[in-house]
This record gives sequence, C-alpha cells and structure tokens, in this order.
Amino acid sequence: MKRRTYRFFMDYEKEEAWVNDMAAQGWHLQKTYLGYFVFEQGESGQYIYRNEWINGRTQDYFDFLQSMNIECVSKFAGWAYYRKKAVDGPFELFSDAPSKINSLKSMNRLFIPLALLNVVMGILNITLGITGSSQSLLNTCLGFFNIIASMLLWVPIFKIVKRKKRLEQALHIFEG
Amino acid sequence: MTQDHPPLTEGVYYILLALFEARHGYGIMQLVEEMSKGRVRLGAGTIYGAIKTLLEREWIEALDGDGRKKEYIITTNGKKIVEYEILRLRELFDNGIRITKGDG
Repeated sequence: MKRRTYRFFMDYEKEEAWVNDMAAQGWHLQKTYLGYFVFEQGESGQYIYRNEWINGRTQDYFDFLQSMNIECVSKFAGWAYYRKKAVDGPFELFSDAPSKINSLKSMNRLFIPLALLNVVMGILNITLGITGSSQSLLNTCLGFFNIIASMLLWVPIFKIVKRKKRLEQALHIFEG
Repeated sequence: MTQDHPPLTEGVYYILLALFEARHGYGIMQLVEEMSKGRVRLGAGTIYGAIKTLLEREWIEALDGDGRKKEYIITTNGKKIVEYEILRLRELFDNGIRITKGDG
C-alpha cells in the first residue's frame, strides 16, 4: 500500500524528523519532490532516514554511501534522502563538528546568493510593474513571487547560521 | 612537534589506525566502533571527507581494485603522523595522571 501526501516544511531538520516519524509508524519514504511525498507501507521502524543538501556531491560520494549500506531513496532539487536499516544501529551522516559545519556552509553558499538575487529581482520587477512606461501586471506578479521566494529562503538561512555558530562555539572547547 | 604536527581529530586518528591494514569504508567504521567499544561511531559522510583529505596529504593511499568497494592503506608518512600523535597523547596522559594522582 502507498500513501501520497503534500506537506511543506521551512526547516529541513523538521522535515527529516517527520519522515522518521512516518517510518516509525511503518510508512517508508520512497520519493519526494518539493513537498510531495510518496510512502510505502512496511514494517514499523525498519529504517532510519537522513536528508542532505547534495549540491556539488559527485557520483563517487553516492557510490561510497552505497558501500556503507546506505540506500539513496530520493534525489531532487539539490536534496537527497537516504535510509539505513535500523538493525544496523544509529545512522548519522556526519559525526563531528567540522564535517557538520562544512555541510551547513555548502547550503548557505547557494541559499544566500539566491535569496539576495530574489530580493533584487523582486524590487526591480515591482518597480518596473508599477512605474514602468507600460505598467505591466506580469512584472508586478513576478516581483511579488521573487519577494515570497526570498522570504522562504531567509528562514532556513538564519537557522543554518545559528546551527553553524553553535557548532563553532563548541569547537573552542571540544575537538569535534 | 607543536607547530609541524597539530593534534589530530579523534576520527582521523582512529581512521589512520584502522588503515594499518587495508580496509574499505565499511571496514573502517566497524573497526573504529569495535576499538572504542561503541563510543566512536563515525558517520559515512565524515569518513568520506576524511579519506579525501588524507589521500590529498598522502597519509593514506587507495589500493587498485574494483571501483565500488575501494580499499585504502596507510602510507609511511601517515605512520609517522600517528607516531607523533601517540607521543602527544602520552604527554597529555602522563601529565594528567601525575597532577591528578591521589585526588581520585
């Protein structure tokens, strides 16, 4: 049996926690595209799921994960979902602060320029739409769309910055 | 030894020890967990990153084999690094014991 759901998360960690909750109830993630999730029913708690921002990851990395008994179930728009059998013990992709920090950095390296670009394009489009010689509804709509897109990005950006800071502080006294 | 050999992370130290014999990623993870009696569980992403860096520094090398489960082994350079690290850890250990002895 399958279950298809739409659900939107601003925070990738909360999304991952929800996917794991579903797995604990016997619904195992098979695919996900931007808020659309397909689960398949199975044994409760059979898998542990992790998500990762994979921009810049090579095939070599995915082969390596596979050799570690980690199954990649879904890849879409820069995000991947992996799972590992729960009987194998706890499953984390990153076990020390430096590698966690690297992963967080790789997210904001793209998110921040993207958010800024949307702010600029948003202001430009709205200005054009309202004051342009041929007042264009299309420009205004696009502009609002840009502004909404940028606001949706700032939420995870600030969460990532906070998480990174906490880890960096810990590095002053702990090795990782 | 202070400037040339900064302390290794726990993960890198254990990965280098694990590679005194040829091992693939999964073998490294298992041995480290075993050696530390379950205390150190290295994440796959962390091991991958460490292997890339250690290869660049030539502290370990990849053995020829079929691509999927590549095996790695420590180099002479890598062994020297481990020796320095053991000396450093011994210093930490000796000083710790000397100063706290008797205080429980």
